[in-house]
Amino acid sequence: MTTRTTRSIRLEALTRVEGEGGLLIELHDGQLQNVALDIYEPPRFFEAFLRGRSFREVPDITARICGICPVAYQMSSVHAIESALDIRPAPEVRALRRLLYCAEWIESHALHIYLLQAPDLYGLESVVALAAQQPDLVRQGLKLKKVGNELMELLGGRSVHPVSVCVGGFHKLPFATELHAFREKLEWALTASLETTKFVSTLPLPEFQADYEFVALSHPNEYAMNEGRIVSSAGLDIAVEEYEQTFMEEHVPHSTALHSVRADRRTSYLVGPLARVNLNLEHLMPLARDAAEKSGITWPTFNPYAGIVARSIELVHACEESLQIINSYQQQAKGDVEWPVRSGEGCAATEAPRGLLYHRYRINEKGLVEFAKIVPPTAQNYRRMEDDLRLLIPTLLKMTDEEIVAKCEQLVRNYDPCISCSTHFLKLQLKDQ
Amino acid sequence: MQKQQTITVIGCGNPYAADDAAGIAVVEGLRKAAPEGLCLRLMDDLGPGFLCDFASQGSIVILVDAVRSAAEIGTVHFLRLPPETVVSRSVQRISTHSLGLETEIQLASRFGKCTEVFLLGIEIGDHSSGENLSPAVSAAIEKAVSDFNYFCRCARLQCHPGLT
Repeated sequence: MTTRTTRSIRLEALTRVEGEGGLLIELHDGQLQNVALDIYEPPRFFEAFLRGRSFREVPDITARICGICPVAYQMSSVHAIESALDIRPAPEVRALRRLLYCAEWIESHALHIYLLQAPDLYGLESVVALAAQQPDLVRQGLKLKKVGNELMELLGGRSVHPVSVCVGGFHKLPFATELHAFREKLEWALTASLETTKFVSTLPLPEFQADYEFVALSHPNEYAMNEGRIVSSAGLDIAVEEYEQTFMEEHVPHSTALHSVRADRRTSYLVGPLARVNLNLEHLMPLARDAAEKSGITWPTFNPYAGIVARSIELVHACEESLQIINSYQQQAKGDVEWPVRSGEGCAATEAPRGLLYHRYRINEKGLVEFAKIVPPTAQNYRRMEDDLRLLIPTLLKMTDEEIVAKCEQLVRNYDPCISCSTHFLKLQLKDQ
Repeated sequence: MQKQQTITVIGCGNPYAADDAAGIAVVEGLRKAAPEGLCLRLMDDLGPGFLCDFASQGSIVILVDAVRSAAEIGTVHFLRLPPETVVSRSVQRISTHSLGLETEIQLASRFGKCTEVFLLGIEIGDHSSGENLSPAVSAAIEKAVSDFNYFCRCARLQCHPGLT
């Protein structure tokens, strides 16, 4: 007679903003049958309520999608609209937008490295426990994050959800003296970022590899952030305009979030810092490139836990490039260009801290949005997360439920997921039938 | 003469969810009154690690938020929140961006950013979509703003004034 056991684990997590997600693991006679990363978050309807709004409102509205990566949403939307309306901002605007994006990378990467992922790799439950053991480390992380937020406030008018970006440029340009005065903080941040790369290189990264297709923007002259072609480790090289023919979103029954896959073969892919460093290593700033070479990682790496190392390298890059932009900044009299309102359709992709972020808009002759499409990086990574869990869980079956859960969460955290760009209620059920 | 401790006041809530905007309305009311020695912030301009970022070293923090308990709608609560007594309803797991109030207070306390945290809570009723506050909550907001100096005195004395 065969004895079957039923194992059931339920985790719940709730914070102020509502939303619900869960992880279901189904085992049959000790064999993995199903893994489902359930996202129960209520749809947020941004694409729907952008319709009928003036295109001028779009950068401010989309910036509200996320409190950690508002610049990403602002950048993808403003570039897509400028593409639709054939607007070409000045080179100084382009540089300042990169600077604003660097600010976001600094705050977001510092947050994830120090406050969210490092505790996992130290074997600790939370950043509070890490702060008890390594107070200086956590202090450094918080200070780095604050430098990013302050730079965002200087350029964007607010440290979260900035408001200075407009179609055609900026509502208000910073004074050169303001930016120059910020150099000291960035120089400290650059030093701290280099220390970060050394500290993450000492962390024990779990052994795990998968056959990933890494996808990121690529630019011939710079570390792609705000523009470029979409390339992949599988040889893909397309214009952003071909995104929707190459990738598609699928609805899955267990999730209100869509899953992105390659349109031709329905396979998962990975976006984010690991993809970017793997694909664009040669375009990193010199100190960042040097840090990558000294990180102890052989690039490209197919270990997702090395994402924390990739983030630290991008932290160095963002500080280094910020200083370069500020050093060459010359204040312009006017921050935006003028243009006649006309109808048009355009798309853009930029590199959010968590990966490729695609937007497309159709604008009518009155300047109103008729159609909007937004594909966030986390939606592009969901299928890949599930694929990773399918590979990981069979190696964990001798562990207790709690240990399995902890390992699964660690793996998912590599992706720095932004489940509805807010916070959520998570239930985990593990069933062994 | 001993320097007075800074008081950081953080308003929380959703301005488009009826009474849930109470915390924001209190801070906006305080801004109009412009009392000295207060650092006023709204939660929508703050991110994870906000207490460590924005509270001055050794400051007192007053969180102003809509609350729901068994009390009558419009009740104004003022409670001291010792770090060890603040427990998030559960622990943040896969979604990684928010730290939760428990973590925020514990981190800020560890790094000496705040000596005490208080909650100024407005008991609310309706929190459905909309921008209108109920009459009882509007009155409570006015009371919270007009009595704020009293709350500050209680906070500086690090006491619970016994208001509910």
